[in-house]
Amino acid sequence: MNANLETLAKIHGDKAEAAFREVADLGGFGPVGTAEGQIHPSYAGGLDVAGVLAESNTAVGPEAKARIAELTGVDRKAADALIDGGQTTSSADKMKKDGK
Amino acid sequence: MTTASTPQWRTNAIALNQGQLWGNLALPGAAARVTLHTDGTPDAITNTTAFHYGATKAGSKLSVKSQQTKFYVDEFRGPIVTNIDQIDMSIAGELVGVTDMDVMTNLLPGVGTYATTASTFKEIRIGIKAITYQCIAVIFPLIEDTTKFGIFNIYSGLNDAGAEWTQSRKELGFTPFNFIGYELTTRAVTDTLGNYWKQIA
Repeated sequence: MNANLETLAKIHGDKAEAAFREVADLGGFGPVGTAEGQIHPSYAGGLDVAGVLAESNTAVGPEAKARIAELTGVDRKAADALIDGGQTTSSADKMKKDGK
Repeated sequence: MTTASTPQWRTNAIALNQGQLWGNLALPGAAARVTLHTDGTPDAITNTTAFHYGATKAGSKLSVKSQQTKFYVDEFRGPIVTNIDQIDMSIAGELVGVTDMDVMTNLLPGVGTYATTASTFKEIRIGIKAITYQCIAVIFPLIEDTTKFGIFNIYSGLNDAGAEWTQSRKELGFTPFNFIGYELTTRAVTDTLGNYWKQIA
């Protein structure tokens, strides 16, 4: 549900940054680059892919959604369940589990 | 014959609850928002690196300000048109977790580098490094329905207040923060800096 260089490298290897740029472009996240006003390709927080893949998101077209799902390996039904079905996970619980 | 207009006192829409400051969030895309869990924390599946900044001294000041330039003509005394030539979005306050090296590193973008050796020390080395922007938000329960949340979200922010605190026995140490939003310039023009939203269902 999150696209960042680390997760995309597992799928695309050394083409991960190109995939990151394409996802950012198709999903309307903003420009990727190292200059001001751009999303740094190595931003650890990554891109929230679930939000753009959900059925309820009508700003991103079906072809773009299909391509984003393909690039990120995210199951669109799972994204939909997360955003529109509320099947989320608490960050507070995760931090406790991780001992942070 | 006149007709009454209905007053709307909006006393359920007041801000009177603690908020939580979260950083390193996943950036939401077009027409999307930070994905939340039912407890008001960021969803851990989409926000894998979500970072809670911890307690503040007196909450967070959330701000959106535009600078409007007024234009005049000789024939009229009042302005005839205006132009918005600057927008600023920020989250400011004071954090008390000054001995938490993760917090302090996050407050020192482009300057602080975190280092640790397991079970021995945690430190921030001060010098120069690449600036890292982060998606940051204050999330708070709504007075109108405390099971729902409001969110003030800066897509690409940077703390410009540095870090400074008083180490003392007589007062609680705290360090100021002031996260300023930077535009993501090719997003939709109505949505380049951040958003402010609340859950309604």
